[in-house]
Amino acid sequence: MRTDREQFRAIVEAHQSRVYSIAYRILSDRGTAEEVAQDVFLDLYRALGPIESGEHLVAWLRRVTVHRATDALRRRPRALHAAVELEDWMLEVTDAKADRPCPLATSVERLLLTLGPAQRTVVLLRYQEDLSPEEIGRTLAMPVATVKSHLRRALERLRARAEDTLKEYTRG
Amino acid sequence: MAEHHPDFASERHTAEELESWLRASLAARPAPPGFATRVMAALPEERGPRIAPRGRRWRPALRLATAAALALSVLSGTLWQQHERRKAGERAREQVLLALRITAVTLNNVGQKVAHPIDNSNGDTL
Repeated sequence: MRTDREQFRAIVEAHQSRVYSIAYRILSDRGTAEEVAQDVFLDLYRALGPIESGEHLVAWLRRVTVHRATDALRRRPRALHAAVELEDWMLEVTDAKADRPCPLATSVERLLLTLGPAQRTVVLLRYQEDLSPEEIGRTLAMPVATVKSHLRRALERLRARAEDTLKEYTRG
Repeated sequence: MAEHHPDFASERHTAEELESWLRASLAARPAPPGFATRVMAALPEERGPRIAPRGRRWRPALRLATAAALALSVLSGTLWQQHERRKAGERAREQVLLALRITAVTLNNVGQKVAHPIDNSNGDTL
């Protein structure tokens, strides 16, 4: 019979990528994203009792990760944003051992940083987590009309910015 | 990868294409190596046990027993006080009755003396 800890480790291994990705793409900072992801799983360990199903668990992880990452973003001094993002960008480029995503994904992540936190979160939940606007509304406690408005504006902005980025990428 | 990045410079690319490009690009990133191990190391030693520890398990029964003992001692104290009060009442009643009897006998003697005074000349007494 598996112990509580073994079961919990299996949960962490199954969902770590999702939680870390959401945190990283909101924060664009590996260190803080890992801290946030760890805190989310520690919260989960304490709150595991009332979780009723796999779907409930995933929804809980998404909601708590978004809230914790957004809080971390608010707490981070504004001047630090650019430095942290530059540092991570350099790591992406130079760290040959890192398990890097494809350059296109990195470009998209850079583009996401041009969006405000709310638009970025909505885009992540829509295209990384494949949630409907209604599900995003429930996750973020946000009216569906607001979700749709954020999505529309974010796509317009991304489309405008993606032209230059993709031109550069295809030239390279 | 080339098939995943459409030419956004062209007006042909629609919102759907942008969306599919985002979906393809935003796959979940792998967590840093050793992440799960670090999470497990940061967990508290023991998960809060679902079954309360032995001492805590007995705590409700102990509380009940203490409350019952307290109630019993209060009840017995009250009964003992009532019993003592009743005994004191009975003693007082007996004393009053005794005093009344003594008074009655005394009055009776006095009455007889008044009714038949002592004949001092004959030396007879009542």
